[in-house]
Amino acid sequence: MTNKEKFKRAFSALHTSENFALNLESKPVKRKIRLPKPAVAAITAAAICSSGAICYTADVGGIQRTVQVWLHGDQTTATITVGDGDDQITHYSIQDSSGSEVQGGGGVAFNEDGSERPLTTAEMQDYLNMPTTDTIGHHLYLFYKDQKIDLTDRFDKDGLCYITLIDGKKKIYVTVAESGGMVSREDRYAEKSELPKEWFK
Amino acid sequence: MRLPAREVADKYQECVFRAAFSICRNQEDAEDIVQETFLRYIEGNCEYENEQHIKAWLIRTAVNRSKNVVQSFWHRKREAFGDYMQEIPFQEPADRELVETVLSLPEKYRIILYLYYYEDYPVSEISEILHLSANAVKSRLYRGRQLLKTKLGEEWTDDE
Repeated sequence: MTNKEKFKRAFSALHTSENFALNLESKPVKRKIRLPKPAVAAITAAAICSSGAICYTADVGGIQRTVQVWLHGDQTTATITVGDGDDQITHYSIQDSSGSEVQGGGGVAFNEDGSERPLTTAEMQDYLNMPTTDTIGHHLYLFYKDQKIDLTDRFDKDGLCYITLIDGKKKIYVTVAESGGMVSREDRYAEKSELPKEWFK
Repeated sequence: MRLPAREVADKYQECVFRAAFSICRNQEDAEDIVQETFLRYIEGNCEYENEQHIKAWLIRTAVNRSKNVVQSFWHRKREAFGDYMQEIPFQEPADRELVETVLSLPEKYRIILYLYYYEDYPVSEISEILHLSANAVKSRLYRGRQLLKTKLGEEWTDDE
């Protein structure tokens, strides 16, 4: 078989789910919400904790910066590629020892006129520095740098858990829903009314 | 020209889903993108040159929306991708390995490999759909192939 034949046979197995019904008449409620802040990127369980070296690689067409990150409490390496002329998205990638990407995503910032620009390395680092949640063995954990907190039995009657992280002089107020959704702020806890309703279905 | 939305959906729903899934790697997100893409088709009232133009428009819209989704804060985690993959009845174990390997590559390679190998688009049309230069598409296609060869070994031959 040629590569194309293999590819077609393999990918033809991907389908919408049996209960998926396309609505072609009325506009359904959108379930996604854009982050109302300049920096947006895919969710991650990593936190940048130190700087790294800058290099230029031709094959990816942009400036790459490798940085040490925390992933589930262990340090590993992430690569941040700042968007260039062809690709206006700044990407990050965390790979395991075999070179397979275990986490990755991209982010853009919005100018005042609504146009998009690539995130700077510093902006991506700020984003990656946020605490995250993950479910391991039916337990929901909050990760921040090398810290890991089991939240499973900490939720109140509203299905929310409030955690204050102290990092040097910085305080981070984290609101976590039982579904794993999470919002962190440095001024106060996010309230239930500010969180997406889909977190509580 | 325009075709009725139902006719377009029947023909291209799964194609749009695969294109979206190859970027966002999450079944629910990809289905949301399929829904949004066809609503835009209905609401857009654009005139198209031919059916291939409609298909390319659908894919481009889905790709753009998928990129927005993976950039969003609420993008779901990778476990969803793993669960979905376990449920898929692939014909051969090698098929699962190929799909999982392609989906493990960085985003910028995945969609180009999908459009080239599954949808049979030439470099020039991929360039138009993704708003990339032809050289950028060639470069990413080359690099994507190299990564597949490295990861799949003999399962990925040297033919193009």
